[in-house]
Amino acid sequence: VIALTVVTGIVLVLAIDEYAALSPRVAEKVARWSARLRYDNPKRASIRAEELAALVRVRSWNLLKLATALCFASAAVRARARRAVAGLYAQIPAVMDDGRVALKKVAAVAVTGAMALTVLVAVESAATRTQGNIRAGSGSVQDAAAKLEAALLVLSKDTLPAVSAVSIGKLRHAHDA
Amino acid sequence: VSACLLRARGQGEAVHGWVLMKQTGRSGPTVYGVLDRMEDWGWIVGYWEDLGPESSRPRRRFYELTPEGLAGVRELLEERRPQELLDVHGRPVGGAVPKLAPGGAS
Repeated sequence: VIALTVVTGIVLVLAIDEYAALSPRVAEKVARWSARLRYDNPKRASIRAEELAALVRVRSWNLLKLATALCFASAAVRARARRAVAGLYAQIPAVMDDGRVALKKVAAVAVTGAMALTVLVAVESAATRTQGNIRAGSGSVQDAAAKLEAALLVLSKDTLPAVSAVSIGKLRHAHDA
Repeated sequence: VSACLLRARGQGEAVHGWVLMKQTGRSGPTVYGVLDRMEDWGWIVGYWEDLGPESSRPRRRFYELTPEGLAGVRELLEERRPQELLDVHGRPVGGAVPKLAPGGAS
């Protein structure tokens, strides 16, 4: 009885889909979306979107149309992911240890930047704690902030100049406060 | 895909993506990946089919080899699938090889 119910359900869904032609409409939209996702070049994306929509339409069964569109979508997602990963290995200008600006991999800069920001959060938290200690009568805010600023500068040299500027700006703000 | 385009050229026809998928037995993304590269190299040109204004279906895009593409495809097939260069009568497929300027195609 269960098998019969399942089979009847599937057949019913397929029959409704064939009758209402839901799949073809969805398939065309998915095919167009796939083209836009896959190609960076807007002209080619537009050409392929229409082309893939036409290709999906000539398939004989509605579910086949959807399967074809999903196949294009899957390939587009993979292509997009590959480009994103490749982008991480692209090179951008960054400040080196000796102060020179040179090309570094985006991934390396992002990781170092993330580390620097993590340290910044810890620094700000430590500065807040030090302020509390000062109020309680132990330690010096100036000493603590100077040490933290020096630590951040070392870290920031290896990251994007923007990260350095933000880090130092925030630290100075914390120091002034 | 190259062999299909070459055969189509020999028959004086242009082919669209669906035909290439059927003839090669490859998936759509694979075929279109090849077409993308061939377009980038200038080996093929594409053009839209001419539909009347009353037609509501999306247009198909046809592809055919350029002279550079013909030379390039022949060279590629000679290297990898020489049997694709001859028809059932042993005659060369795809018509005459155009004379290219030095450095025109690799």
